[in-house]
Amino acid sequence: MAKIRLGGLKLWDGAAQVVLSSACETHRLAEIVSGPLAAEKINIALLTHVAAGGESLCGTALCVTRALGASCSSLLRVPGGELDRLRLQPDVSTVSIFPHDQRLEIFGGVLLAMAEAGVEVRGLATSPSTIVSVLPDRAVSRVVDRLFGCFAFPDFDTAADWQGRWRRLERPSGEIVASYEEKVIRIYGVVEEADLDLWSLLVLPPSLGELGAAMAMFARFGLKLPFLVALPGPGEGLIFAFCMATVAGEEVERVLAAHLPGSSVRRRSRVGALFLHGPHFGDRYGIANALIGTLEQSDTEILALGCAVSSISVVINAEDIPAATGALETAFSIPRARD
Amino acid sequence: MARRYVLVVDDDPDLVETVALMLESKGYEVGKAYDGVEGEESIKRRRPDLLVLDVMMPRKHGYKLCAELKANKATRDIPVILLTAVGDAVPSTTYTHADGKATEADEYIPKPVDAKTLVQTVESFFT
Repeated sequence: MAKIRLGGLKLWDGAAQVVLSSACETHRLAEIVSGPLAAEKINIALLTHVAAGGESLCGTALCVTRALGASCSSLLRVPGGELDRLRLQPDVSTVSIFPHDQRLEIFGGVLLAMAEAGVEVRGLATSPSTIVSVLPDRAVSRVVDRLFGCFAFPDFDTAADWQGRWRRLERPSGEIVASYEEKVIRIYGVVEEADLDLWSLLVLPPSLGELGAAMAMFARFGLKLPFLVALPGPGEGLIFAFCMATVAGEEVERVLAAHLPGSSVRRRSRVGALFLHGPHFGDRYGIANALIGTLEQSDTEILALGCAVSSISVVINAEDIPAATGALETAFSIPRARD
Repeated sequence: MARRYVLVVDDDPDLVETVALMLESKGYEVGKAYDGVEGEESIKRRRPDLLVLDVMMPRKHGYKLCAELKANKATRDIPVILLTAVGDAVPSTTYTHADGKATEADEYIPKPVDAKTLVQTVESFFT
């Protein structure tokens, strides 16, 4: 089978992941997670949050620079002081591939690659162009090897080529040569997508490949995937949350039941997704907190959230879209055309 | 008439998608590259009619790539539009508007780039 040609593969080695389980307290994500980190000027490189799946399918996970993992973990204001809800994974990396064009065969290929590699996936998130996977450091080589089995990348012919050259590439050292702090954060705009269902389920490692196969099946139906996050859940499972068009709901339910029998799958209808993207989001702190705080203050329930690359994707109830977009358009600065 | 071919070079893949959609909706053919070296190689493989170029990128930043293109007889007449988020907000930094002009870029647009501004600027090179 011909490999799918993608634009690139990137690795960020040197991350730590902090997981807060069962954090479903409504309207408190800013208070518990994003606010304390923004106050300390900590840049969250990756943030995922699911709150729509019921108590067992809720949680928050974030990635920061490895050196900040422990301090970041101590900053989170865990409700009730229940520190057993907090986990620090100090040695993770993120592997990103792009562009996905919302193509389910690409998402399916990523999950199948992870399953074939037999690795413990620690999380997933999407931006409008990129799929980001959170993996233990030791799993990166195996996963990259499998990704090259499914996909073709422009700069590297093989996984061995990538392994040999990646570390010699001139990569950003992380040195900040310029920084800026805007009174009002500038964004490109707020993009809405309505008429969606939010699907939540717990996937145990042996079933990851089946979810990948289900995604490949969705691709044959011509479906698109505008939003996906995954984060560590109970036991060794991953909580997956993703959006698909409501019109495809019955097909999605049928395919998931066929591939993942016995999995408790939750479907929440009448939701929409909002996407924000802005310059250097991935390098600056406080952006996610600005969005989360704005939505919570406008009484918008955040059902699921993903912050990856330079974008923020958030899933809310469809009825909240007008108020939420109005709030975001006053809280953020959107450029207007020159005359 | 053949469509104009615009190459977008930026290490932010979300931004590349955003800009590509803006231009494709106006009938341009768009190529994509995700860092300065990849952009350079793409230009060697296929000459663009116009280059939209980010400044801060790994491997080779936009100022350097632009300066090299402008110093080369074969590529100096490819119009270059530099995109940067830093030039307006920070008056004194490694990357400034003045540096952009000094590298002989043809135009400079601050990020976040508005769709209408981008398309108008691109079209101004072809009218």
